[in-house]
Amino acid sequence: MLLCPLLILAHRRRGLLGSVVYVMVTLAWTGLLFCGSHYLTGSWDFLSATHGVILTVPDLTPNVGLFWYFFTEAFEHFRVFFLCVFQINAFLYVLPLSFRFSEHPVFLAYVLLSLMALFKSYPSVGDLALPLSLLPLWSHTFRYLRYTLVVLCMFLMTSVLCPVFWYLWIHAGSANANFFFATTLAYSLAQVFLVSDVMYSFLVHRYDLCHGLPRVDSHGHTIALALR
Amino acid sequence: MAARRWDWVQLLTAVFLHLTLPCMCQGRAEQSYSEALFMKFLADGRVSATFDFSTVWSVHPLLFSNPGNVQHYGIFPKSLAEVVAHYHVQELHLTLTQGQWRTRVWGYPAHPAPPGAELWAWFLPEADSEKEWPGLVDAMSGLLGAHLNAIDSASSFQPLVSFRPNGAILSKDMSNSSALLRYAALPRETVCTENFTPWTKLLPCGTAAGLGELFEAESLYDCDYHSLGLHFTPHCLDDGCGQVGVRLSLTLTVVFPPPVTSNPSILEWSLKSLFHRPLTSACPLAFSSTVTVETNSIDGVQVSLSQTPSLTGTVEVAGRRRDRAVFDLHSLTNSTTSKPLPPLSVSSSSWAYHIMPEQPELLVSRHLVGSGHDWGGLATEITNSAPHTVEVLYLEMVPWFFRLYLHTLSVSQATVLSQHYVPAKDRRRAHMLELRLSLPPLSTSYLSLQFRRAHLKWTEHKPDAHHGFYINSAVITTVLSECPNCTSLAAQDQDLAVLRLYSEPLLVSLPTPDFSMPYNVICFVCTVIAIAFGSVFNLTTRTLQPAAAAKEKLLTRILRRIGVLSKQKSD
Repeated sequence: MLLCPLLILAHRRRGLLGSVVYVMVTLAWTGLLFCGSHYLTGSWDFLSATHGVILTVPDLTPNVGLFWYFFTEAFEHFRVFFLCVFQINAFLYVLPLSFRFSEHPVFLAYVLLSLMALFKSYPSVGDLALPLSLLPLWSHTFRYLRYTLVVLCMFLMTSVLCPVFWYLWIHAGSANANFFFATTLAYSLAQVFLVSDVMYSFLVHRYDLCHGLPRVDSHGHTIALALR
Repeated sequence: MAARRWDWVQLLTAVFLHLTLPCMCQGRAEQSYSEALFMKFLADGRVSATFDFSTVWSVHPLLFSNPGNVQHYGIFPKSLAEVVAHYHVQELHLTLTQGQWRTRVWGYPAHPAPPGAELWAWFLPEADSEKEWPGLVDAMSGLLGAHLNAIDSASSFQPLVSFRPNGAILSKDMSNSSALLRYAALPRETVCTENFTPWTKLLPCGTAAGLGELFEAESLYDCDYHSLGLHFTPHCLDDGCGQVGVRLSLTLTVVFPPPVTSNPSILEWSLKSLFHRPLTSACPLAFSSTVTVETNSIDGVQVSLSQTPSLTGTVEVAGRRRDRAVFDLHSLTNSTTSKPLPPLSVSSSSWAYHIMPEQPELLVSRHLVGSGHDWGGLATEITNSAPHTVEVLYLEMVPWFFRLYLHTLSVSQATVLSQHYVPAKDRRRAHMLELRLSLPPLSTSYLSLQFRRAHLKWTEHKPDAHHGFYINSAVITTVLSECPNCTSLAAQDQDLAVLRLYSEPLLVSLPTPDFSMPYNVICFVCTVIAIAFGSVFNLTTRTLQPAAAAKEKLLTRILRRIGVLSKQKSD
């Protein structure tokens, strides 16, 4: 999924030929790794055991993502349908975001990393570590952030409550699976708010760069911006 | 005229067929049927009754597969023979048991069986066991009315060395491979009269004559241990095993609570008091119909019989003397008169309940360790009270959703001679661990293994989800040279070569999801995804533009008109 921003970077640096060469190198290298695995294991079964597991989600061990409880509780009849929906959703955002942030491939990579941490089949808290550590790169846009308090509080709360509810459900036997699921939901929501807020602030910052500060109209009143 | 000629032709045909048919078909081979009841006092005052109904038929097992070969089934149950023939079964063992046999107090069982249902089968050498096993399971569940359909590939096993064939072996290939063996056990299964009635229908005399007359479901199920068995094996008809037939052994083992009388230290039982039915005749189809009572004095307590037996004798079972009294029902019943048999009752003098039972040589016990629903462990204790080293095979079968960690296997005291482990595949195959252990003399060995519990989909949980899931009994198989605590029946006093002990099955609970939540979960998760999608959609498809002055709300305009708010618009 990160192929796109890197492609854009390569295109900017080396032109069309460079980007095509880059794509070919990536595909060749991936193919080489698959062939190496096939040689080591002796069959193509490793594909269903590695990539197949990520795509079909057979193991339902609880994690901080959205998939596990959904596929524990979903009706068997609709399982394949929901699997397709969830996996397509994970990959869907690449192209539109690439068009929107085509001049800012690093920011595009950051947004895609955040969305990957959100929509992965088996996410972990470590998946969010990378985007969060990259976030200060755009500290100049932080003045436009709208939901800092909400996001911060949600992250703090889920950090405290997730282990507590896990312990209560699994070890103490007093709470329910729903408690833990609620905290993972709040965690995902916090990530959603963070990503959308950072994107919005980035766009507002870009608008201000293009149209100049202070943002005032002919009478001297501050103009508010809206998405139309 | 035509009618008379037709009668004459019919008569000739009948005579012709009667003369030639017996020569043409194989089915008129010899069949012999015997029934035996063996009763004894157990060390804690309980009474054990073991029924053994055994039919031997001199048809070679390989002839079964071709339906044209067998024409007359005689006293062999046709339903079972057809199942065996259709699924190319060489050996079949099915037990349905309620209760756990307490080896420590009762000694070794005559017919070992784990609690619940157990079905294992060896298929004929040319059969495709993968294909035949599901059909065999369905057929046996229909035959005995048991819910064996719960057996699927995730609960079937192929032990390498633990369940070798009991009967005659038909081909040399079978000694090396276990591809033709299938084993499955269902500890959750309960036994009731719905299983008992079809089982009695397999008996030649049923419940009409012979020992079957004693069967009354209420008294048989109101007991501490009850085990039905069906064992079909190829059988050597002579000493050198030159001729091979088949043997069907239907067994029933019941352990009754201590038969106390008004004087609590005297125990007295009679056939009437235990079974509540009179025994009036012997089965006319049986060549031998006997009731054997073991009259050993246990720790000074005398056992006395109320009537004289047909014959008494002492049997040497692995170095211990057993006094047996045999009542031959054929000689006791008078076939011309239908007088009921004289009642048999046995009493003991001043039973002492604090008798320390002589502990059998081998004991196995298993339990769970750990708390919480994440990690857990199995711990097995094997006691060897013999003064010499004993080599045993230990078989452990664990469902796939208890993920075993083999590196946590720790064995103390015993030495692991070899190990065979088949790891599990989610939803397709279960864990199987087979160990060959050498137990040092007079020692207790401990095996422990840790596991983690997996999470199942909500449809994979059984109806009572908080009951938990069962882990099959562990099986200890060994060969004992002498067996003082064995209960061996008079009919099969061959050396009890193979001893099989079953441990307790374990009940483990899994973390359950909330079963009332499917719709709610779908809504919540889709809401989060929709929020994400909506935000990204807005940011990618719309551009930032200066917002026009918002039109005032209708309410504000009305209030301004009335004069509540100031006339000027605030900008």
